[in-house]
Amino acid sequence: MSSDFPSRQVIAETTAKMLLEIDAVHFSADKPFTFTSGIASPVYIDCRKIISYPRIREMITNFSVSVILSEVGLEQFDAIAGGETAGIPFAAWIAAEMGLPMQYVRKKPKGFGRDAQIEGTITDNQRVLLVEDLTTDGGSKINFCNALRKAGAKADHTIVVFYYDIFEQTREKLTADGIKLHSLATWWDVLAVCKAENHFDTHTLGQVEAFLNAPLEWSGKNGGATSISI
Amino acid sequence: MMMFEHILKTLSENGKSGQAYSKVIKHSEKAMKEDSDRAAGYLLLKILADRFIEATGRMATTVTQTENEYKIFSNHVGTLSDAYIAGDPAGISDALNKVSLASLEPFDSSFSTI
Repeated sequence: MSSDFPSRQVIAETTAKMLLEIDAVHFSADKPFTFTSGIASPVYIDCRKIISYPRIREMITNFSVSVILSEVGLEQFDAIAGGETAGIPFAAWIAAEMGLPMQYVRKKPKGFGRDAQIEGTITDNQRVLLVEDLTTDGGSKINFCNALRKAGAKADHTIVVFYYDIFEQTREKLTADGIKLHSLATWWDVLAVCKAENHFDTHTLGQVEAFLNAPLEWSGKNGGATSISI
Repeated sequence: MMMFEHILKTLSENGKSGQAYSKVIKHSEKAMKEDSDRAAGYLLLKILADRFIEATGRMATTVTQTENEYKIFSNHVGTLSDAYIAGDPAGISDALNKVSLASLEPFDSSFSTI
């Protein structure tokens, strides 16, 4: 890999364009989606679609490695862990690109024991990078990192393809838990590309922007939850 | 059947979302211990809630999916609650069997149901 890392702006814009190109992004202002938190939202993203597009997944992998090397360092990780389920393929590609071992973290422990939530070999003080496809509120990242820590690893960084970047509590909570979040693109990057390239109608984009600016307020007005707990 | 009503209320008051179904699982497990004569009924509700979470993961659901699943879940709660209130052992057994079979029905994950 070249030491000339692409700029964050190029990474964000290109990632947003790729996600739009493969229809991973859906907007529905009149019939909102329901997040797992109960929040009503006009936006929906499915990063799992990336796995079916070899050129895009290769670009995503290269961008991810670039972000990690430039933001954390070239020799800062001993292994890459994927969060079950969607994080596993991304972790595999990043691990292959970086020439590092890989594990995956189960959503729930498989019985008892220190390593009950981990598949693969993990060692004490191993510096592990957690990989996932996206983060909404950061809750699952904390669970996965804690599982890695329980197994003896040092899990202080996570990278996702897509970060919602709409709940201020997300970074606060992750920081409080000693986790640094890295990402390729956010809803703001997608919105910027949509505006620049005239994706979706102006009413829909207006609703999306209103939601991104005040998600809980928008949710409450559209029948969803008005608070979030991580 | 206050426990059944409580479980349904939990689902409704938490946006019928994945987090709401997670709470249903916890309430059902608690109810199994505290109201053990009806443990089988609560276990089925726990299985149904788990089915929703397994099918959706961390992904958002469409309005249609959310409402359909809530309707299905409400019907099952009603079936079990009615049977336990009536108190007829054969009726309770029928209700448990009916909901057990229904728990095998796959979740409609098609995205065309926006």
